[in-house]
Amino acid sequence: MPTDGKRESVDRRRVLQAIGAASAAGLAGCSGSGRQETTTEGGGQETGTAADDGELGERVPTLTFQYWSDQGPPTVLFEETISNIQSVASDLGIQIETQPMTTAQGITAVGDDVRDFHVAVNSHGPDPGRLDPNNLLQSYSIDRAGANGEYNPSNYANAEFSELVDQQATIGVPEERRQVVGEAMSIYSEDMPFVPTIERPTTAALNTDMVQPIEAGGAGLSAVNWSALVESGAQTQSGTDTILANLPGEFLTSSFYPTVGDTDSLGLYTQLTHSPLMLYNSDYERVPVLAEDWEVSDDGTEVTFNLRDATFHNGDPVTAGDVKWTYEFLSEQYHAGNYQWTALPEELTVEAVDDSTARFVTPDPAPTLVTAQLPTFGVLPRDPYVEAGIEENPTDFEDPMIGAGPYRISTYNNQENIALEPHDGNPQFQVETPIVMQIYDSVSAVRRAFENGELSIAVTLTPDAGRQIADSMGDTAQIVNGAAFLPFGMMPQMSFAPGMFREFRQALSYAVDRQGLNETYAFGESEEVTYCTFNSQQHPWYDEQYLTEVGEETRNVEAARQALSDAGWGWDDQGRLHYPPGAELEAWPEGETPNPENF
Amino acid sequence: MSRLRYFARRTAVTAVLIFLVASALFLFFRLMPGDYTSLLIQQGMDPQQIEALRRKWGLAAPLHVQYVRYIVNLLTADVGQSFRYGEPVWDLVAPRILNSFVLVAPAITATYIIGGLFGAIMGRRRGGYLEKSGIITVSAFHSIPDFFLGIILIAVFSSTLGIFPTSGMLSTPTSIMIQDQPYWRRFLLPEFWKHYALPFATVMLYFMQYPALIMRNSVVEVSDQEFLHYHRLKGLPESTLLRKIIRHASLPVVTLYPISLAASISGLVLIEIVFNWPGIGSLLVSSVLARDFPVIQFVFLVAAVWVILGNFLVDLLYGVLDPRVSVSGSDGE
Repeated sequence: MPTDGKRESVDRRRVLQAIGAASAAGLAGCSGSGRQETTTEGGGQETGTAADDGELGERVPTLTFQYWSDQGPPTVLFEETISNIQSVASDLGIQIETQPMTTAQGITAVGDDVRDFHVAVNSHGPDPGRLDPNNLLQSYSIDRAGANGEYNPSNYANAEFSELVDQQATIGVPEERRQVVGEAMSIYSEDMPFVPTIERPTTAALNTDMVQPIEAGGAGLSAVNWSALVESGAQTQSGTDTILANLPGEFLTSSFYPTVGDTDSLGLYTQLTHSPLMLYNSDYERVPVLAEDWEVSDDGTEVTFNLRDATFHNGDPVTAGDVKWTYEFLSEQYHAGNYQWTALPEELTVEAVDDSTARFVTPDPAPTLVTAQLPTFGVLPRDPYVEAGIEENPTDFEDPMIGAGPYRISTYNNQENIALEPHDGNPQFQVETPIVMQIYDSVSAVRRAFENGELSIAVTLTPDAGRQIADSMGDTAQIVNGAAFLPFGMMPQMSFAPGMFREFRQALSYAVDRQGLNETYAFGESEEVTYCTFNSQQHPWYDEQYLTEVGEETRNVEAARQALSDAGWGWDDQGRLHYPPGAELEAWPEGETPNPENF
Repeated sequence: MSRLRYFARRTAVTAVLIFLVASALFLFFRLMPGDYTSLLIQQGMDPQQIEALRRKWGLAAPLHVQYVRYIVNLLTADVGQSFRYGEPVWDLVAPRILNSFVLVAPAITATYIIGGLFGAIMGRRRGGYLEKSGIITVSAFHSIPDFFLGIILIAVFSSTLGIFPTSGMLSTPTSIMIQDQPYWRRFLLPEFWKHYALPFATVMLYFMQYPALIMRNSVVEVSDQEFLHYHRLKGLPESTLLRKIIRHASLPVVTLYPISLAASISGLVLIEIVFNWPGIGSLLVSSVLARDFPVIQFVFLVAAVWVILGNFLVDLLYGVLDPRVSVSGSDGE
């Protein structure tokens, strides 16, 4: 199939035409929800009259593909994906209409099991806590499926998978847990509640006349992941004394580090200003920061950290007492409903064994402590925060903005900008140059400012903007391409037809031209994802041995038709797709929750 | 006395209008499906935590209780707290309003003065080259989407000629440097004016069509009236005639001025985004995406009050500009 950008842009137009056609058909009473009169068994174009002999089931209605319209650059990919499928819709005998929704609307609709759309085209946000698989595994648990207000992205219901998900959350021995997670992923991958497309690319640019080039790992450089910059020492060229960078509009929404409004901003603080005991580096590998090393007990209920010599921005040493206070306080506030994202175990106690040794103890194994929570939240100095009133008013206090990160915050203007000065008390990262970050609401404005020399680093660009910068600036711009740890994909709604049928999900996976998406959206800089998983190849828990290959890099319409026809689906003499005869079209009634005994 | 009563009556009507708008805004936002807490589901908060947050933000109370609280808070100048930023809405919106006002008010005022004069000259040179090319030019600027006009100006004056910066109100280092100084001081810096030039020009060029064409039509109409023949026969010089014409022809333009001022606020959304201008428009967009109801509600209220007060001002000005507009007509005296 053609994969050039020209073809894809024409396809987008076809989406709009299809919307019009579908609307007209709907108005004319041809919604296709009733049993049709013509069909034949099997794939291919050979069709015949079927209603009389019952060879075909109900006609597949016009399918609604919902996407999140407020995600910035990813929204462009969502639209491209729908367009990509739309271009072969007639070959599959289906019609597609699109339904843009805000992220909040989409999440609410899924949580309430409102069946207004058949496929959700969006992605899992690369929140730092998701570098451990627990969060997303839990999201797909049967407990969250159906109309209970909980978000299960595909309304996926599999009791065996869910049992393994519950089990892995309490296994303290890393190897054993990895095995159980692998088994759960194996079921998930086979069931295919998520149809992956391409890796989620990250694009940044550095003006090499102003900043020294950096070595970036697989994560690249982005507003949520500044590891590559601090690892390379954040050095400028002579004549430049400050790094000027942009931040997306949703950043700098709160000056309270422990209470920041969303997890995206956490990366900024955790990696630059509020170092944790350990964190994920630019290759998504955990590296020690304030801790020298750590040891997990055999039963997984104790983790002991040996601290390095480090100082907070106010000059005080980082002690085990600060570690104890920070994480016990964050846990308490999370369970009191004040801090939204810390997700630390409720019965966590931290022992300050001595000034440089801290031991985390939980009654039951808490494996995500060292893989999700502790790398996400930095250590706070107890005294300044207590004096600022954090214990009395945990969400309304004058944040002293003190951490032990390689940068200290010298200026913070909410919604506007933040200025960072190097701090030499961080044991892991030594940085040289101040950074000033300014909020920009539009990628185009960022690109223009960067090209005009008003920014020395531009992050969270679209691949297209990166390409334009490369064209206009040549060697004076270093384009840093990387990938987030969660890929893009589609989420067929599995509570009703057609998404409840694996063969449909399989056909969808065959029908998408991943290579084409990569070319049109990422200019070939991304990777096609053909194994079913919600983790990208960069993710520390990506393990191909447990995964099922569910698609190809390029489109295979014949395989898609074959998958459907093998399962009893068919096409009528006008080429329209029908369900198998007598097929049940609901996995469970709308507005209810699935009974685990049936799944 | 009658003028005073007219003023009092208009003031009362304006106050009632603002109250109704505030009430309608409250109802519209509460009747919309979902609330801010639905955003939190994505991150896996459990229902108890979400309920606790709903209680904390007052979203769990019955609608009438929320309404009474809302009105009382408005009357006591407490416009709530942003869900997203966790800060008082007023603290969040006030500098943005100022930034937008600094951009819009001078630009629209200058547009109406320059555009009005240009329209008057076009009207006096009926059928001439200036009129023809002038109409085409101002119409062309208004036919281009405002954001695209901004991009063209950036391409020419920033990217190609390198005269002006592409974005922001000040360079980031400067805005950090002056952060401890009074906010208004930034408007006095030469750097501010360099950043100001392109968005100002964009607003001006985009809105120039209204005063120019309306003034031109109005001048054409007034020029044919008999009183002008009388003045001409008296031998008044052209400049005096033009002044008299402008005075008579300016009523429709004055009427449109506050409307354009209000319309430009909504039009500013894209211009602010293109120029990364930290105004109310860009705040509104990000707040809508984040479902930050208190902020959206207050920004809408500010925009509505802006329009209502603008019309109120025009009503008062009318009486001054045109004595034929009698205040007695409106209250029967």
